[in-house]
Amino acid sequence: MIAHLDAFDRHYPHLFVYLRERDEIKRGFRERVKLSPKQYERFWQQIVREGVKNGEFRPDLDVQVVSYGILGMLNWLYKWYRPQGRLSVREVAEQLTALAGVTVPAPKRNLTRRSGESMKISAFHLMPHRELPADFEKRYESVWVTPPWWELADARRVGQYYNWTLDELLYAAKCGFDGVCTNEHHQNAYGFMPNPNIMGSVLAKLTNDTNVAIVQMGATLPTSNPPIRVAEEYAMLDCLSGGRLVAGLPLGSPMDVNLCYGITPMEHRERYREAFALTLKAWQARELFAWNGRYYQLANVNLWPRPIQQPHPPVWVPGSGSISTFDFAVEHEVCYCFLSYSGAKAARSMMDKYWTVVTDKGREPNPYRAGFLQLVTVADTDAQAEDKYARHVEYFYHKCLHWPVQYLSPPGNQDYRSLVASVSNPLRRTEDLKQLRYRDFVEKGYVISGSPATVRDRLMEEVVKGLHVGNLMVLLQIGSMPHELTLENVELFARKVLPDLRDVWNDEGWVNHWWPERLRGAAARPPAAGVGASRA
Amino acid sequence: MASLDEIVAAAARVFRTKGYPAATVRDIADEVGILKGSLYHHVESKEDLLYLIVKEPIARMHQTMGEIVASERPAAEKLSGAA
Repeated sequence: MIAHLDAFDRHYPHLFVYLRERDEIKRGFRERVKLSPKQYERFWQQIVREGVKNGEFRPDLDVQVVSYGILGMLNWLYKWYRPQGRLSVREVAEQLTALAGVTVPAPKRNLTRRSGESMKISAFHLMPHRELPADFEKRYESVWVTPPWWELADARRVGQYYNWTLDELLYAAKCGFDGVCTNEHHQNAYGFMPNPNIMGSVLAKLTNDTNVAIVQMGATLPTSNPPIRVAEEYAMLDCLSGGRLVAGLPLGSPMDVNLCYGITPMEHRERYREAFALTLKAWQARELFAWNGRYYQLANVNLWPRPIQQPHPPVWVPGSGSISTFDFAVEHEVCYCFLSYSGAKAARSMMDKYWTVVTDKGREPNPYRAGFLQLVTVADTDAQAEDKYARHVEYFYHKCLHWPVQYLSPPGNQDYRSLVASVSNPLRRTEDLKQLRYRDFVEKGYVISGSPATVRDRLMEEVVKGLHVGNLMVLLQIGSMPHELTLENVELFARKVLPDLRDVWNDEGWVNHWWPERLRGAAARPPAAGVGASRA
Repeated sequence: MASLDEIVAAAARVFRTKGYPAATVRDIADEVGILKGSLYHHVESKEDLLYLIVKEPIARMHQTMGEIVASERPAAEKLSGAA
């Protein structure tokens, strides 16, 4: 039944169309599909017959009547079943199996609704330059696209940054985070992992004994040519990690895609959508196929390897508030992630719009349909947090986000609807970040910083409940924050904040369809004893 | 120009909302935003579209069921289809 339901779920509404129109469909058509309904009926008969024979099922069952009955029940699903609903495929199948009543009565089971799943909390990393000069923002035009490598960086030192980044994420995995996130950016000092999958492969290998998801946020489709390169690398990561991949498929920022990688802004979204469709098809197709699109033409698509997670790994689409991306995310049943540096207060009206789109399109407001990135710093007290983190927070907002505003919207990059929306209702910050100091950033919610209690309460109130978010990402290495201090931040968050957030959605019974299935039921892992003493 | 995949996805949506018998090739062309004539460039008939829509899901469903039935698991597990 799970297999049958699962097929419905994954091929909604295609199989529904078939079932509803079965009788209208001519005999010749069935032959063309090369599948006989009789054969399918025989599968069910065979199962019932076997069960009766070996004593698992009640001995008085009439094989034919019972198997027709079961099949009828399943084929009626098109009348009422909706994907991504309150119950998971498995739970619906359990209910129907119970209804079929074929098994010999077993001791009573507790049939009350299972409690929902724990929220997923992942550690995000940008991999920034940690030692930009104090007058960087005065001397240079931008941290992105144009900063001169030879003046600002040293390859050996940067090698150290990459190693710290990996160690910090691995430490987060060890401390009990649910996932570790990397991302792709180009030609900048703010976050430079040009290929997140190189980082992801190290993380996948070294977390193979854990239940930590490898959240790639992710490889950018429009900058990969042909884009099936991303499909291949993700499939590799999924194989390597034993099915723990979350496949982030971002559009990519205008800086990366248009200014650094030369994609015409007008084509950016269209290319993305074509590449997205190609990626999903390449993961799932059972046969070699040709792709003859507007931007990509491939005579033979036949991906090796394919992902372990079937039909494909969970897909997250990071965005920055374009309404066309809301529509896209809902229609494609992906998790929409707002990667914000301005905090929850600034994101509120935008995320409200997202949830409106979700419900307008007839979907349930499952919090796991949304992800959000929040900057967080924790210390023993609020005062200590200011003392330890203030300059790193200011470094991040003053230097790492230092770019000319026109970089964000080269003409043609926004589509018409989003452009009209953003001009008539500017959600983007208009304040000058360089005028703000640590206390402003904390007060306005850009950063959530303070004692564990302060951080927990604000995250819960403003981010998790305020934005209705089930997949939370936290940025714990911020700007110039050194390695040791980052580990402290990670450890304190994992020990004193994370456990109190985890169960917030449990009572509502939602299923996180956007998390690797084998990790969904994974029990919350309290940080291992003594973890602080044995840092990565 | 619309790709065949876009057309097939649009056809699935139209069939789902209007029903297969009531849906016309023009409805599908409208959903994609192309002319009816352009659609015939990709497929010959409405039935072709239905075929393209259901071919793969049905084949996969049969394959999975075949594997489950042939496996060594107890019948109750086969019935619930627990992987």
